[in-house]
Amino acid sequence: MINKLNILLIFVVSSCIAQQKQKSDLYLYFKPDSLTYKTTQKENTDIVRKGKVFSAKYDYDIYTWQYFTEGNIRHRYRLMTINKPEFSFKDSTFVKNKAMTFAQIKSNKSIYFDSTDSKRFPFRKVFVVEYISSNKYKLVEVKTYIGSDD
Amino acid sequence: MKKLNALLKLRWIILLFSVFLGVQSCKKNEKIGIPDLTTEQLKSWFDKQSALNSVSKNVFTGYTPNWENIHTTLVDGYRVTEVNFTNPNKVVMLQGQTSDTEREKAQNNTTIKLLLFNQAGSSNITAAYMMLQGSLPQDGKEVHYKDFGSFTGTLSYYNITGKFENGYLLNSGKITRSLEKSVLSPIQILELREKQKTIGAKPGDKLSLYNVNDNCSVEVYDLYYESCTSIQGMPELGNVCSWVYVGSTTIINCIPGSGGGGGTSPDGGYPNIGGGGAQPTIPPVSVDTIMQSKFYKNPKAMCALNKLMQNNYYRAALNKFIGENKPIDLTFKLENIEQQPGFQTLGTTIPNPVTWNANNIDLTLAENLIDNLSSIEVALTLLHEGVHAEVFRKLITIHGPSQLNNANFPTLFNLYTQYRANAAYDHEYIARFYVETIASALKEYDNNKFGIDYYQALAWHGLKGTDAYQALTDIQKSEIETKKATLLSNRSKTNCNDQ
Repeated sequence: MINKLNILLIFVVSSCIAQQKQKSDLYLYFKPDSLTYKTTQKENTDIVRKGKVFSAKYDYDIYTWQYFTEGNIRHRYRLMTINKPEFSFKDSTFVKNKAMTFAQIKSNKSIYFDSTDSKRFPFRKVFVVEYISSNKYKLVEVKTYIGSDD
Repeated sequence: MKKLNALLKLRWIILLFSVFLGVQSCKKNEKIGIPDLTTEQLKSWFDKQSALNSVSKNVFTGYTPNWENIHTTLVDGYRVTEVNFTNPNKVVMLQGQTSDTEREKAQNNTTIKLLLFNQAGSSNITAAYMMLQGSLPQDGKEVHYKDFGSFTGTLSYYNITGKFENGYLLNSGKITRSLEKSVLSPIQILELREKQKTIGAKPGDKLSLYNVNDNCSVEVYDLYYESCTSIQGMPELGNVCSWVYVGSTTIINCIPGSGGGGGTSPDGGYPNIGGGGAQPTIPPVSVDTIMQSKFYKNPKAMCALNKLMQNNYYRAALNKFIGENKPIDLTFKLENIEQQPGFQTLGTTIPNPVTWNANNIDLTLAENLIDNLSSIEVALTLLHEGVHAEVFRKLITIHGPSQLNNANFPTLFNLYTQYRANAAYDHEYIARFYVETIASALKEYDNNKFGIDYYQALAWHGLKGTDAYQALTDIQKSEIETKKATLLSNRSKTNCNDQ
């Protein structure tokens, strides 16, 4: 009987540890304003490179959250869509239960690591929950924007 | 008889006309001829120059010119006066010869000459030291400026202050390699340290770059001179000589025409004398570089890029992308870049496809801004974004910043862990290590119109959010703004007309 209890206890504890280790997903709320904006990078042309036609086609959105520190120093947190055509819509209940604002996570320095850096980035996946209307939100998976800041 | 007289008259006329032409021709030569500087004048000039140098600064100061033994030639519009020395083999350039016997052998095969260049129509004199170091004992007296006979060995030129300028490796009088001076920039040293952390740390360590792609290597040569003294009261000892280390010089050693390290026009000459010396080989931008047609058709973007290609740093940076055997391409583009109020984004750089497994990086100039920019601002953007491209190239080779560590790119690794990806760690990298390089390239681009501090001010553009910039004092920041405004004021915005 004692042995069975011990095994059960070990199972519960290890399950708890495993759950703690498993990273959660981040749902980041996005609504454009003076500091938050969305841009689109699109290229439709091909480029001739070394005698071969190179497909330079791309189409992705960049979501940007800006904030300023002393001395009017601009900082930008930028995420970009991984696969722009793949998205779904969510309602306000989902947003209330799961989404976080940038202000809520801004102080967590780990979010500024590259999202492909599984060792340091604190979330498994990141989704933008984009405001469309009062009960309609677009959910799209994103990753850290890897281009230059300017 | 009449015919004979007429024939004689005609011959006289032709003869007189020829004499007239000859006299006119001589007069013409006299008018544009080389100023007749006497040996005394040359000697006087050289003595004044020598008085400004000391042995500790210029190893050639200890040489005694033998003004009785000179050789004069006309080369490329210059009168070249070669002056032999009474003690022609005191300094020796070594690479790897460490024992006294080896140095002695090298010394015996070395000859130094003084060259004085005097251009037609000018009394200006340029002086250089020509060092001939044979692989075997050879008679250096038979070797003259750009007339090497059958000399085999190293020919190197030093300026009047004793600093290496350029050189050549010769085999039976033919140039097989060209040698150019190289000053390793902080970035190059940084890159070396990133590649191999254990070298370059101790005094006496030698740093060596070798680029397998352009047939050039960077080598370090040591300069020694032999100092001999006699000890008073001990004549039996004779002269006691010892080797004195003067310093090292870093030299880019290239196969002529390979284009690396700046490339050379291998005519055996001294820089800036006639067609002589090293002339940069500019890769044909339009052929070798990948660019979107919009970029190619924009005259300002193209002339700025073409002119930047004359800069050693930029050319070397682009050479990491250009070529069939380079796994990652760089594409120059011109696209609309969305601007935010109060900020000007002149350009962007991003891997394309946008992953850390990309095989291409796009460097984009802002099409919506370029018309209102002077060409030096376009050059600044190409340089700034070029550094981003170099950072991305490094990151792609390791499949992203998650793979950074102290063994591959320690500096980037430290900055990434400190500043994170989304807080512009790459800008911190540029601010700490590339402001000087960008400034120096811009100064060269702008034909040295201003002092380097003005170009440094411009190079800070886009880096104000960095800790490196914030660490500057308010006075320094204010000076940066003032100097940047001065540098950019009244510049033409048409093509590269601000040059």
